[in-house]
Amino acid sequence: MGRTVPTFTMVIQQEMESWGKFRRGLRREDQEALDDLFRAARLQLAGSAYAARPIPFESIAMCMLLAQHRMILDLQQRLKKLEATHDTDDNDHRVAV
Amino acid sequence: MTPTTTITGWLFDLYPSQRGMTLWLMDREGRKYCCHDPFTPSFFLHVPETEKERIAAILRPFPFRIDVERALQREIYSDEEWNVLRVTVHDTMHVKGVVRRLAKHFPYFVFFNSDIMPQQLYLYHTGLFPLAYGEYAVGADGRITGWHLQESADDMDYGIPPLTTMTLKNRPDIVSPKYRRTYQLEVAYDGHTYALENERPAEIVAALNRHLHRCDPDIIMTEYGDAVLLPMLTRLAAHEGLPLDLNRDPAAGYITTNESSYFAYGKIVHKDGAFELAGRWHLDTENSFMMGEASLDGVLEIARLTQLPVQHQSRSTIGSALSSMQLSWAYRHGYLIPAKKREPEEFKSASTLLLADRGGLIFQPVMGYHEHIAEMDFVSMYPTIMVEHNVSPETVNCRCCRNTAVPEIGYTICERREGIVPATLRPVVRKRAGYKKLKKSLKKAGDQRWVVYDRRQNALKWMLVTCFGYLGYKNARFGRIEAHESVNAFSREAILRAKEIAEAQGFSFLHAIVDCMWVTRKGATEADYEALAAAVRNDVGIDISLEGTYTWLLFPASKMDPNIPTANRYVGWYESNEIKIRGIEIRRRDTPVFVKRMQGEMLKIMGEARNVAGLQGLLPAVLAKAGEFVAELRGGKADPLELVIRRHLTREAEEYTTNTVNATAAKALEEAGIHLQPGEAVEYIIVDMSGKKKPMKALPLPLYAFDEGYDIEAYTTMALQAVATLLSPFGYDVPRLREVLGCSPPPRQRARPATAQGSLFDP
Repeated sequence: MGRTVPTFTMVIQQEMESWGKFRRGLRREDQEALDDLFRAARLQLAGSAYAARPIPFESIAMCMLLAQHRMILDLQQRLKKLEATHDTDDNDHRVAV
Repeated sequence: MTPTTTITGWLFDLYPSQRGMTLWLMDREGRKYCCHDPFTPSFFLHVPETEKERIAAILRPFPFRIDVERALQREIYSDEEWNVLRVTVHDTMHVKGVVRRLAKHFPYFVFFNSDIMPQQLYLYHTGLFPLAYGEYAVGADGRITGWHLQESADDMDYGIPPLTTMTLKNRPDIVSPKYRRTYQLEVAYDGHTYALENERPAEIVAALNRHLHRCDPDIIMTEYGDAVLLPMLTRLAAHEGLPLDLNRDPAAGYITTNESSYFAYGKIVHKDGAFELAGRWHLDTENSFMMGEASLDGVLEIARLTQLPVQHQSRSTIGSALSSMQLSWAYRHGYLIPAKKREPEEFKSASTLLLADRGGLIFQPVMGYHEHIAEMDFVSMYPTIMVEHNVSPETVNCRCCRNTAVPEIGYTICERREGIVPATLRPVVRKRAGYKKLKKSLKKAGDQRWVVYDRRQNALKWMLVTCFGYLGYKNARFGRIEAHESVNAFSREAILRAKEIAEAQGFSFLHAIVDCMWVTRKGATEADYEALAAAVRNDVGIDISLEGTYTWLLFPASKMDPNIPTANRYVGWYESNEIKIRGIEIRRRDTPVFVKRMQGEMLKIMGEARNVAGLQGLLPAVLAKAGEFVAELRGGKADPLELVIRRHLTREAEEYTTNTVNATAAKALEEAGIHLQPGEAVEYIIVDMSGKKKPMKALPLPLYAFDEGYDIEAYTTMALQAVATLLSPFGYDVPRLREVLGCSPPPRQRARPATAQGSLFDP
């Protein structure tokens, strides 16, 4: 439809393709991890599209970092919860003894 | 002086004729009056005065009077007066020929008002509109000498004349008459249906004439009348040397155009040629977008508002309807109307381009099932932006004002004059809001007339939906890409503000597409959501409405990648016990009825759940229902007619290079002598997807015989995918469903399961 600038989904696709050789040189497990990283960018279209940075890979890399950090935060929280229940378990145990 | 009579009634039909413009009036008793008004349309050329002699010489061979004179007209972009030549043609039926002759000598950009139909120009000139009700003064010679209208096109309460309808169609059939060689015609009126069956063509023509005389219809409503029935009948009559009285005006001919295929929104679309009548309306339900969307009520509403004659309106795109309103406004205000768009894009720096050429914002949905969430939509976001911020091709980056009104990109918007786009949209926005209100109150009161207002508001909705696209469309007369970009910038600002307000109030933002958003907050009530809507409305200045709250809502995974959600595909049940479905199989035109029915039955069961836990409890019942359908399919007992797949062709049959299912079906039809254009639909049943066991992968419906059966595996896969769309969040992807429902996988290698590794985004 005569777009001058491709949509960000198209940009991500192009960027992924440009990493094709790199991907080919990876082990199967790592290939899947790499695909997963690019998926991170596809989950955050609004931010990248709105910012419209001249080098789109900056936005893509930032999305990857963001996803990683979100996961770390989530895991930290789950760990905290687990530790908390574990502590009370210990206490319960002690009381029971 | 000739004595004049006054006719109180509606302007029913008009078209160019020997006497200028022929007009048909209709009174409250349904009596028709054929009148005329001498009218001399004119157009303009922006050329030096010295060209006058040359123009006169070029036009000398025409056997009717043509005046060429100096005139002053305003140019819309600069708002300056231009010296132009006015060419007035004293024959409404041959304006096109005059323009065509001149176009051989002058470039297109000097032409103004030159490609508008005379009947349209007549309406703009007089301020009349289709079905305008009032008192018309008519002389003894049938000439209209004046009128006094009792209503305006902006009125919401108006009467419709007592119209007599006759339907004409081919005997009901599963195959469209386009693909048929023989016809069994049926006419129906006054509650009776008559078959036109006869061995002799002359008898058929005679019978049709008898019915036309007896019924004397105002509307001939057909299915495929444009493409097949009327051209075929007129050919038949001509061949037999018989008259055929389709027209009410015996002196007039038919107005026909050629069929065409064109690109719209990335899709190829096919439009049948038109076959319009004089003194009667021929409406083809199969060749009218508006008839399908909003029925006759919608067509009449748009015809009145846009001043396009009814038959023409029913066949035109919304874009031409919209542009007709703009043309009328420009004509009334004395602005020149460019023959073709002539405003190039201005040069922009690369960074402006990057910032400017983006659409609305999309926040990808959080995949899976959600409970108790609300959907809020900005009401007519784009048109409201254009109206409220005065965004128009001639107001963006105007030459007179200095400001940075447009967010992000800092374009200027004129503060001195109202633009043509806002000026023409304002009444549409206002009327639609009015109709919606009327519809709501009538529906509440149990008054059946609400349906009429609903159709009218729906017709207007389409104008509002498309108005934005036309701002940046290269063929729009009043479009300019900078105006289009400005609207987008305002829209991004609006949805981002809405997000910020929602998040500040503790809501989480699940999904947003340009002008609607899905939010949730634990324990939030409808009143909380209404309060959020009010806060957004106040801040942004665009009305936002609470579409509803869902008991549960699913954002399904993408078909291409099961770890990624897709925008604008969802299904959910509102608290009010209504279901809303977008983009999944049951809503898609290319899904076989059988699969749609299965998904529908599953969703019906799922509607009983009050939350996600409830859904989980219903899983056994839902799976059992899917199992019934799959078993029927695999037992070979499914009705093949429910397995028909309907797809649109993207090219001519011989242009297909790969052997896809679409291609084989199109080629088979071609071989059978049925030619389809790109954009036309082909309907087929898959008989052997692998292409190994049978000579054909798929059989087009007209060539299908019941003993051909269907490809069980192909349809099983289709059905299982539709089940997985709904159930994969509960762990039932296609491979798992094959196990659970006991259908062995097809011999092909199974694709790698997508969730082989824990996704980065699984909590």
